[in-house]
Amino acid sequence: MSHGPLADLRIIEWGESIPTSYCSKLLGDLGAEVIKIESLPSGDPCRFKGPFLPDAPHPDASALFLYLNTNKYSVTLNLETPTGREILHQLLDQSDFFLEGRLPKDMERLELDYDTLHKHHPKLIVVSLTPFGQKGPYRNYVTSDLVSFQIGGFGNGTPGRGGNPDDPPLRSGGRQADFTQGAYGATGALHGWFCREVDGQGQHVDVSEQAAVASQMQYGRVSNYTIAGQLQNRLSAGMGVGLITCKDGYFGVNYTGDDQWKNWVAIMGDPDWSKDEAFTNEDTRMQNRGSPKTKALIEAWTQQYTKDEIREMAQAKRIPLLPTNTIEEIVQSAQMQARGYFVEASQSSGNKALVPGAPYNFSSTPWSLRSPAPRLGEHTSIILRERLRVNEKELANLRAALII
Amino acid sequence: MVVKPLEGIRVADFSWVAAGPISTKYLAILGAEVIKIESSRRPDTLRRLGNTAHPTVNYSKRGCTLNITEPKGIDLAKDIIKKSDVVIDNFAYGVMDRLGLGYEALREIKPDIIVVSAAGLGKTGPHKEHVAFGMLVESYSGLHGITGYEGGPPRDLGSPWSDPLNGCYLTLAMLAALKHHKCTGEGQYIEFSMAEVVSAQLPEAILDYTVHGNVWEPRGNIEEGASPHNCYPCLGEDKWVAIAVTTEDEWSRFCVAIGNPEWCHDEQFADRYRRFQHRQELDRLVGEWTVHRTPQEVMEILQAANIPAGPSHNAKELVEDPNFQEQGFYVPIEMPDGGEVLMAGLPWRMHPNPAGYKYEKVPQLGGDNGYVFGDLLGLSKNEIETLIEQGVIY
Repeated sequence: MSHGPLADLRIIEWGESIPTSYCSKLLGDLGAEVIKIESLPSGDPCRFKGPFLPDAPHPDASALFLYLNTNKYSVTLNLETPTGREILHQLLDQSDFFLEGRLPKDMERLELDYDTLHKHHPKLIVVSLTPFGQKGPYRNYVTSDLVSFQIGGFGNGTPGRGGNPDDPPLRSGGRQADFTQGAYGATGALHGWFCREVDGQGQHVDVSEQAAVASQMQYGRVSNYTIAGQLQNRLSAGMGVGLITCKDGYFGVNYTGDDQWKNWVAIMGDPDWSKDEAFTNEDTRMQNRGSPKTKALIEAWTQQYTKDEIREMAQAKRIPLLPTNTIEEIVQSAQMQARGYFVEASQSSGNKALVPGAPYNFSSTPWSLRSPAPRLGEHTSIILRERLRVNEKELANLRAALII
Repeated sequence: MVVKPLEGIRVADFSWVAAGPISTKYLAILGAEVIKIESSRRPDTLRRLGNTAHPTVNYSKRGCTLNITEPKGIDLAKDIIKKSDVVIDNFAYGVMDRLGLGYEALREIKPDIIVVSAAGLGKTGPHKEHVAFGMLVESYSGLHGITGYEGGPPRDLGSPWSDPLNGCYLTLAMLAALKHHKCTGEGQYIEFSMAEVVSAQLPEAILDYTVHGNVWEPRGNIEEGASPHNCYPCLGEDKWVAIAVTTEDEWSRFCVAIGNPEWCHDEQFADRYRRFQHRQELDRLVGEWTVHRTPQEVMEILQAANIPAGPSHNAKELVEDPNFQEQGFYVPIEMPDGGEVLMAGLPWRMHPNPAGYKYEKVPQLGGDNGYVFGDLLGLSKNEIETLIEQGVIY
């Protein structure tokens, strides 16, 4: 019996992509039941993405698949066949949400487009996570995290001020467009639930990866353009002075206001350069504090201290300053450890890996990892038997026909 | 006229700067009444900086001014909260408690209240009192450490990431809590560490460390075992296109799409591992093809062959993107001076959505004081004037 604020919700996921897997993970971790439909023969391609635990590729060994698919049931189903789709329809009859990630033209071809689904299941909330949305000239275009990041506008601020124009626009480390689309998808799904509460009718939640990235870009360069008419280019964009080096790496600091600057300068021992007119003159102080020249002066001092030491000194004076943690440092950080943020997730084999845990803490209906990431098709028989009253003989026939 | 999904829900919004305000903006678009509580003592930072961000993250809300350093101000805050379903703040550790507006205190006023409290590193732990916001949080979370040019230093991408992302997760949490309340009548307290939200989206890097002990450095635009996978220079002033070829199938189609040049058949590009190994050379060759074409042309040629490709949009290109235009992603919003400006709307679309969305103007500082203190709290004009004179409604 699961708890969580979404414990009564039933989701059918046919995604086999990182955005759809992450979307239903977010909802599942808050208590929703997620039945993950995987195609034959090998299921979600993410099963073949590393890192692997143990260290050998195997469909049940992907640690990324583990992170994305705890709390889910796996049912293998061939939706290219009419019988497979008939089984899907029976499952949808008992579900609140259908989460899918196919191109609109493919859903039309399979007669699983929204209008058709709505006719058969008027209360069903369909959540579609696609590269470019359901409408528009790009609706059937394909994408990848890098492409979405650029066509959604977020990458166009690099290399930034003082950078080399031959350096290409960057994307963030990891797959931020993919995960972000999943997060907006989960939020949109709940919007759909509230819509249904009003009139009992299902809705189509249309989540575009391009729009997810553009939503991350909603102000900054974009609002500077639409509101102030300034069009920044890749070499004029950038905020602040960037990361500052120290003895064992980098840190970020953001001294707003005179008091914070004075305190920062005092920590550095009130060096002579800080008494220069450039910093004492009110008009030029803001500008000079953020200049590369000043950064170099600061680094002459900071190179003597570690991130941790500088953090302690600055925070003692209420200066906004945080270390640029490496992945090792964030996992080992005292703060994250004290909060129990990193938790163990289990594979069905029993192997465990330390993964990021709850991104929020609900006092009454907590986040929870209730079951391990499933093996491919692990729950096909039990779901079909218990939910659809399919008997053993029928199951055998379906298996023989490669429907399940 | 179909009722909006969050019609009847009221949010007492004490949040400021970006993450909290973005989340309440999304709730407002869905029909909630969001009362943005500011003070002339210390208007929202974004307002003070004359920032174009402020209107973008605060439209569709009601704006009131309330001086919560005054005891009478706290009383009025509680009166607003008593009529609200959700209270959200992103103050530093201890602030709401000191003001007498902590969760336990608010439960006495309204037992089923939903309280959401966000802070950079959370409200528990040895560093709970750290001053932390915006890009510092992303730096802390590990994101900057894995972002940057290959072989280069860690860096941000010139635009805030953590705040808009937390805006999304805060909305998700509030909708989940509101659903729970609708079904059970129970409220609760939701606590956020903004850094934890950002870290939740770094599982590959985190797992490579926790499982194998590998610590990622910045890796540019690369994707392990894939090439071409980068941004390439195009025709025009500083124009770039992103291309991502990750399978053997895509590579075959790519070669055909770009006219099957000799070099496609080089031994060093024969499979994706070798292409990845020789990616610098491959990037150079691909760049020699793209540089004669606009990003749009490259996208059309490659998308016709089902290959992921698309321009790196600047702000103008983003707003004028034909896909966004047809979807109505950017919506016209009325500014305080009466003019209309295009701003980003809801991140997803809803069809058929008979209730529509609530896109309303940007609130002035204290612009809705009459509504909040008069209509909502029932104070008389005289009472309101007195409170203004006393610096309470301020």
